[in-house]
Amino acid sequence: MNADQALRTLLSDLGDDRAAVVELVNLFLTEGPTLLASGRAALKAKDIASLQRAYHTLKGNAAQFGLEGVREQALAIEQAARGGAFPKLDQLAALDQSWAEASAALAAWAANGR
Amino acid sequence: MPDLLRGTSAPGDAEVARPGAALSRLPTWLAAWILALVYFVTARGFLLLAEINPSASPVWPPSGIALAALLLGGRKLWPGVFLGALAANLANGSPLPVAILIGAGNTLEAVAGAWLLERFAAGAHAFRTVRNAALFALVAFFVATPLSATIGVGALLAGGLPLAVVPQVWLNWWLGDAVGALIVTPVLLLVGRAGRHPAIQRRWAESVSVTLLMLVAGVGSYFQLPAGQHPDVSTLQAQFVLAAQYSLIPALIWAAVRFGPRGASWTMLWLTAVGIATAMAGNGALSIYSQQDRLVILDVSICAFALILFLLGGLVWERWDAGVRVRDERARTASILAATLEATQDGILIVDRAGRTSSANAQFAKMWRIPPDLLASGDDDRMLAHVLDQLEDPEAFRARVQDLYAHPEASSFEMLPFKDGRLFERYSKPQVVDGRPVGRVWSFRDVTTRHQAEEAVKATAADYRTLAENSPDLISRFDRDHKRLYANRAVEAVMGESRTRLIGGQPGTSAHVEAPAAARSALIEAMDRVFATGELVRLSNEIPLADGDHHYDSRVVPELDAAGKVATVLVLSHDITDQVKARRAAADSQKRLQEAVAIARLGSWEWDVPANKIVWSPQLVAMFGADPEHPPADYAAYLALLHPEDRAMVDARVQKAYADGKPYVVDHRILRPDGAVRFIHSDGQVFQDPTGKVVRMAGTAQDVTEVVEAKRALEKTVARFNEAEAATGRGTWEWDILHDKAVWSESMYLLFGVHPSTFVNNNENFLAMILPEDHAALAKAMGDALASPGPFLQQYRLRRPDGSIRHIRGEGDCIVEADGKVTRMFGSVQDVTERVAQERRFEGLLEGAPDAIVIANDKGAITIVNSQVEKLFGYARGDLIGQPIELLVPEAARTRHVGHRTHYAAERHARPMGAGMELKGRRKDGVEIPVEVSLSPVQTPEGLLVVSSIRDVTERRKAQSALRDAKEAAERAAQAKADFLANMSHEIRTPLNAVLGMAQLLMGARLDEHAQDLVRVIHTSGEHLLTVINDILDLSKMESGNLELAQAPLDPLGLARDTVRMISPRAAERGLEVVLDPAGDPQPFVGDAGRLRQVLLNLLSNAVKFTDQGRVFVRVRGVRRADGTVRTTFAVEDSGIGIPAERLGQLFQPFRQLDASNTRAHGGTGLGLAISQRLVGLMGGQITVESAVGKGSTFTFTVDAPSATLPAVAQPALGAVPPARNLRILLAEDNPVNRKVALAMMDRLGYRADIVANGQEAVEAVQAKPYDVVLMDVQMPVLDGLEATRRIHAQKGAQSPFIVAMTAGALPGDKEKCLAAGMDYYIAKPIRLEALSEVLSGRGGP
Repeated sequence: MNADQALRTLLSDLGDDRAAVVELVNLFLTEGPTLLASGRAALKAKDIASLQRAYHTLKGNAAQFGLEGVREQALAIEQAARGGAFPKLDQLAALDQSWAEASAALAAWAANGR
Repeated sequence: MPDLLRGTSAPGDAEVARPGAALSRLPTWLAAWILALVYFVTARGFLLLAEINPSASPVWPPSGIALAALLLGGRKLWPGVFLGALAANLANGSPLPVAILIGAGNTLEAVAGAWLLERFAAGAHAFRTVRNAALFALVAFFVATPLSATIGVGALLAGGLPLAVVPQVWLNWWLGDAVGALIVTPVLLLVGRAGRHPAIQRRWAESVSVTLLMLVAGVGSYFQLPAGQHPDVSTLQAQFVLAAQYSLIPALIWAAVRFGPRGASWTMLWLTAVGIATAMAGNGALSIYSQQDRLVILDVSICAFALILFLLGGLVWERWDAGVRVRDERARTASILAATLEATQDGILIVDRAGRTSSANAQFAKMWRIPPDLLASGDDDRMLAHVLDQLEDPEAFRARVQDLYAHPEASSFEMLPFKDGRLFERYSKPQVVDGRPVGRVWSFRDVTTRHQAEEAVKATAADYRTLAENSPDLISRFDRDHKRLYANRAVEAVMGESRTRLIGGQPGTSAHVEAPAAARSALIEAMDRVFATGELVRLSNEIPLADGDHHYDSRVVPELDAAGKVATVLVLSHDITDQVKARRAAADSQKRLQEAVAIARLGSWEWDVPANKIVWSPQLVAMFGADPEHPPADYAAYLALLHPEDRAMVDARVQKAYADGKPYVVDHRILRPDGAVRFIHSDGQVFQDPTGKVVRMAGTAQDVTEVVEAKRALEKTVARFNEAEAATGRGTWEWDILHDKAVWSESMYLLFGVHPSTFVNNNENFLAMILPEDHAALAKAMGDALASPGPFLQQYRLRRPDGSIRHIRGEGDCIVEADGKVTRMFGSVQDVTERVAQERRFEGLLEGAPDAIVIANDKGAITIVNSQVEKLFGYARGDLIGQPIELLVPEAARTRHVGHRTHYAAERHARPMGAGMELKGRRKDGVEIPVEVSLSPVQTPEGLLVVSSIRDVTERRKAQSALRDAKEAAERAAQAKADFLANMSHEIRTPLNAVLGMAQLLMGARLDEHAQDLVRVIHTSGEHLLTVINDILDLSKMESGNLELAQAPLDPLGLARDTVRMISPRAAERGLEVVLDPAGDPQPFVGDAGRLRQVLLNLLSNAVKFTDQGRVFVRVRGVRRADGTVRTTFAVEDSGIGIPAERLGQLFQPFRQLDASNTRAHGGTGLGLAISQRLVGLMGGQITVESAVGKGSTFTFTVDAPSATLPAVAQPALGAVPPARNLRILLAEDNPVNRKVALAMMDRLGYRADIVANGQEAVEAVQAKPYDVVLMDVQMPVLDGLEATRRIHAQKGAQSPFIVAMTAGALPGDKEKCLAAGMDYYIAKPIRLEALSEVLSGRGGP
């Protein structure tokens, strides 16, 4: 499911209340970086549980808004963490990159709507 | 009498009218106006006395009037006081403010005084006690009046009164008011009946005297000598006036003491009036003072007098009250005493110390027959004479009376016999007052009747004792413990013991006599029953005595105590031995009679031969049925009675005996006159004289008809038995072992082909006929039967003398003698040759059958098997015969099989066994084999046999199993294909999503036009590919049967409207219009809205795709059908290019588009219609198409589904808020985005939720407040969802809310973990409205 479909689904589920979806998107746009940051902090603190939880949540949110790339990368990190493995830095960098791109598109949608 | 019951009442209350009743009956306003008027007039009058200040009069009756009026008419009358005072003061020239203030003071004085008096001193009744009278004076003098004086003087001061005169004015005011209140108020309150004590009679003379005295004193006070006539005239006059005035004092006290408060008040008024008048006139004792001073001094003395007189009056009233109370109490006591005296049945006389009659009741006079005039005369001597005259012993009584008067403090009692036979009890008791005897009370009671009754009872008891003692019956009395309390002489006689030893003993036993235990326990039981029920019991018992057993008819009779309970029982036994003996004798003679009758069968006769005269015994006469009066007299007559056929024979015997002189015996018949034939056994003897001449013959005859008939019947039975035996090939035998001699039935001889006359029937000869090979078995069977005596059964063959072989089934049993030895055997044989032959043929049949056949009897024992059974199960035939058939059933099924078998025996018919089940047989080696069994019942003489035909189906099962394996393999392959497809699609979709995402990003980037075109192509192609993949996935799901349809109420019209709205933009791009016709009466039904929308959207997008101009119509029609379902028809009609008829068939094939060249022009995967058709098919409908090339196409599909009612939430208009639901929901979610999504969706569904951010908070929230549902994120900080769930369950147990896991897990095993932790449900993130709605509506609002 891509972002377009996801947003459409969300719109339909919320009764075509565009304002509500825009609000959700904006919330996600501020929450996403927080999750990424807390993931990094957990890595630094070697707190595997928090790390896993952060990427799990990011994965879930990404799925909600159809950010397939973000979702998959977060999922990969989450799964590795479940197995006790900490992510590599380049993995995090790639996720950051994905997030930047996807969130730009989302922000554009929220700003002018299609 | 009413006085007695009324009790004491407060004296005066009832008689004294309420004072001022007349005033309070007036309307308040009128009473107030009258009061105002009276006040005004009085005030005007007395203000004239004011000297120092015109407003302050030294005598001020209005204050008394006001106080009395408020006490009598209620404080509500205060406006009258105010108005009167105001008017009076205004009229007096006071300025208005001053007048108002003075009026207010006067009013306050009256109101406060009235309130205080009512509150503390009984109000208008104040003068009835000393205390209240004192309180009245206190209130009037020290409280109310100073109040008015102070306010009034204050007002005058304000109005310009010189300060110097203030004390004087105040004193005037106060005393004036006080005199008014103290003198006028009591007069007013006590006027009329209110002031008169009910106990006090009018004392006219005294009233007049007092009045005169006071008049004289008063007038005296006015006396004035002519001035200047005498030098000392003024002194003389003053002395005179003083004397006159002082004479008032005794008058005052007299009035108060004799007339109470009223008298006191009236005299005080008079004193005051006189005092004031003299003071005004300047006369009297105070004439040396100024008028004003005189008045003041007068005031003070009046007040002092008033106080004294009030107290005196109150005291007098109290005394009067006390007097009334004492009088009432005395009257009551006296009346009670009198009533008591008259109510008693005793005659009572009360005399004083001197013995003079002081009082006697009517009963006394009646008892002693004292004439009324004598009683009234009070002549004690005559009365005593009258009394003594009636007594039997008057002197003794007189002496006793004198003795008692000599000892006044003694009490005594005696019985007084009268001359006329009456008897009195006499009591005498001193009457004591303050510990000293003042007289004596005599009481008399007539006890004549009681005495007579007692005497009668005594006499009766004596009578009864005499009766009991002399009764021939046994009479005993027993208590509850069966102890004898009394025994009469008869008992002594029977028990052989004196009653002193009998009493205290148990019934039916003594030192000499002992009744049988049964008789004793019967008697004891009867006593217990009488004690329990109180009813008489009869029984018979016996006692063995020296002269034999005595029988008694006994009655156990209850004796009741005063409370009606059984205290003791009497046992009365009447000797009925004689009756019993007589009865027994009667029974004996009856028995002898019966024996005689039996003997009647034997008769005797005697024949005097020379005289030819026969004497018959009566029995013989009866036997022969002859006339008892005229029995046959001679030999010829005897012969005539014989049966005609036997006459000759009998005659010959008799002749022969006669000739030989020897006895004879003959059996013959007789023909009785009544036609009956009887068999007679006769004998006779011949008696000869010494010459050898027969002189007499004698004999007996016995009727043996019954014996003969019995014998014949027996013979007949035996013959029939033999016939039956012969016919069925049976024979019976009995073998005397000791003598080795056998007795056979006739048919047995026939069976064995030997003749009874030639065959020596012993064991050896019998065995000789048995085939040698069967010898051993038969010998063993019989030997075993003999060894442990019992029956045997053995089949064997025998060779008849004619050489034929017969199969014999022989059975027998032993006859055991008393000493345990077997002396004989008996039994039967049966020829079973034919059956054996049949069995052989049957066995041949069995052996020829292809199936294994097992025949079992009704007890489940195997009786026959064929050789296929041996082969199939591996048992030898001998191992199976006689064994239970369960031997062939697998161990696990054996118990069940026994039940089935029993059931089958009850409901027998041929059928396959265990229909539909895979049956197993068990081989000897334990291997279980699949079998098919068919059963059929055979009814045989030996009982029910069940034939089981068993077929080994191992091979067939193998084939079936192979087939099943193949099918499953095919299905697995299909599933694998489906799975592969699904996985592949997923694998493709993931990178494709990336491609699309990138393309989207690129489109947003700054690219040149060409590059943008390229990117757009990439995006469009990607989208197309995604659609194709989705479609393929759908199709594959449908084909593998993995597609599940939702079942929820839906609104087809709304659905169509939504779909039309979705397609409208695309249609508009192509200049087309999509029109929805709502007129088809569509009905809500249960179905999958998403899939229906998919089909409709597909049809619509095709219609739009293939139509260049015109319109597309959508029609929805609903038809409600009788079975509760709805058939809904959706039709999509376009005006497009149409479809050629020959292509219509391919339309719904997957991957077929009508024109390959169209693909590019129109896009689409070519799967849409195929998917639609399958979806419609899954929904129980079908899709059809009508088309004409160039004109357009109409696609129609129908759906049959159960009718539904739409829940309110299922049809929210866009933007409308669905009604809030009453479900208590807790959302535990740490992530704000997820939280918001969930809340927004719940809001849309009409739910509200409380929020917590982690598991710990969730646990606390659930603890604090009840929730129906907890939506629980699994991954949360502090405490995760799984642990939170466990804790909630641990705390709440059965009260736990419904916990729904929400997780973006999707990892294998996650769901199981949630459920294992105790979560009830699981929804995946991202959350979808549908899933949320499903889980929440599934919970339902409470």
